[in-house]
Amino acid sequence: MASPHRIPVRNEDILVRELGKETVFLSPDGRTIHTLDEVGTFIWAQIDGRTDLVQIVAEICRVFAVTEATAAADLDELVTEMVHKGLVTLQS
Amino acid sequence: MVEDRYEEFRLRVGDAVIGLRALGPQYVTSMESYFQQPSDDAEPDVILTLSVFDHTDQPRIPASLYTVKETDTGGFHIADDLVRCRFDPATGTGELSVKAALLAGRNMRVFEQLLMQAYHSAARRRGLPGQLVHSAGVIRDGRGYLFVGESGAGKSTVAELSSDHHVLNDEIVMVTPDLAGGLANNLSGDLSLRGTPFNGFFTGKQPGSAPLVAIFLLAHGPAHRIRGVPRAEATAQITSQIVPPVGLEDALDGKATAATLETAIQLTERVPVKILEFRPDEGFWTAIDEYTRHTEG
Repeated sequence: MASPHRIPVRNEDILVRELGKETVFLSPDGRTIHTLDEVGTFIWAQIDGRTDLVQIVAEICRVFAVTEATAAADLDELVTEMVHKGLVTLQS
Repeated sequence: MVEDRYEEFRLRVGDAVIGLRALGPQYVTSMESYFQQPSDDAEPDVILTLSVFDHTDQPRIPASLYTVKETDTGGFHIADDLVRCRFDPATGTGELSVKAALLAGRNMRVFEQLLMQAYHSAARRRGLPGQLVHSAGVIRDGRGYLFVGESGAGKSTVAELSSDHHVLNDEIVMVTPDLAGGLANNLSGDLSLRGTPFNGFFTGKQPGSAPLVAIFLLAHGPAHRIRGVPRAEATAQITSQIVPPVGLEDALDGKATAATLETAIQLTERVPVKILEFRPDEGFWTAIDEYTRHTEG
């Protein structure tokens, strides 16, 4: 699990298009399309290079009325996937 | 003794025409037969002189001539000279050399990818906006339906089961604006489907066009059912089935893929996209008719 105080930072080399409440990404190598649903798109919007994971969890709890544990688990899963796909990096 | 002389077959793809020159008697006739359309009367936008080489090796034929294309100054080559091409986009002329194996049997479908690239070179020269999509296209009651899916998804099955209607193609269909004068990669205006000469498995394709009213993403299922799909997922699936706008002078790069993504975004913005779960019988048209009545009612 990612350290909760790490800060996710967007990869600026990817092409991102927001489609209403959803998002599509073109991978850094230009060959793969990734998608985010409404919750994922909300999380993506919180990734501004300054906000850490704890703060993002709090924002998820506020907007979606879920428990902190659920929000933290969902965020961890999504951020891990995003890191794997090269969409974000995690900085201390 | 009769000497072979160059003959020119003119292949119409949408509003573009590709001239293919080659040596040999019956060349034009055989191309007309293969593409099921006569050599066009219009002046070609791109002219390629085709040379076919006999060989003793058994070259591996790649499924994609895009991903293994290596560009160099003034041209490109593919897979140990299976294909070698010199092309000048300024004049629209070039020389295309291929090993004979690429023109044998079903390999012709792989060769067609070079003609799709020639189409994009021609479209760029003319500013034509038509986009090629891996799909089956069917006109029913004047409405154009696009069935999108990767190989094995059922495009040819849909075409076979639609033979009572107007099947444009079961492999590559063009999506193009109704309005003339659109820019390349800009699908402005209402959209139409248009047949192309490219070949799948269905042998009853007919030229034509119709307004595009719906896009169905094909999925095999136990029953016929039309269901919604998140727009991002629809966009991703359609992006993967758009023929990248790579001309003979281009390599497949991030810019080309980004262009396909932008095209898919325009399509999902302008045309209803649904998942069509179907089994291999023509009952899926009943589901589509009900869907059409519901959306138009």
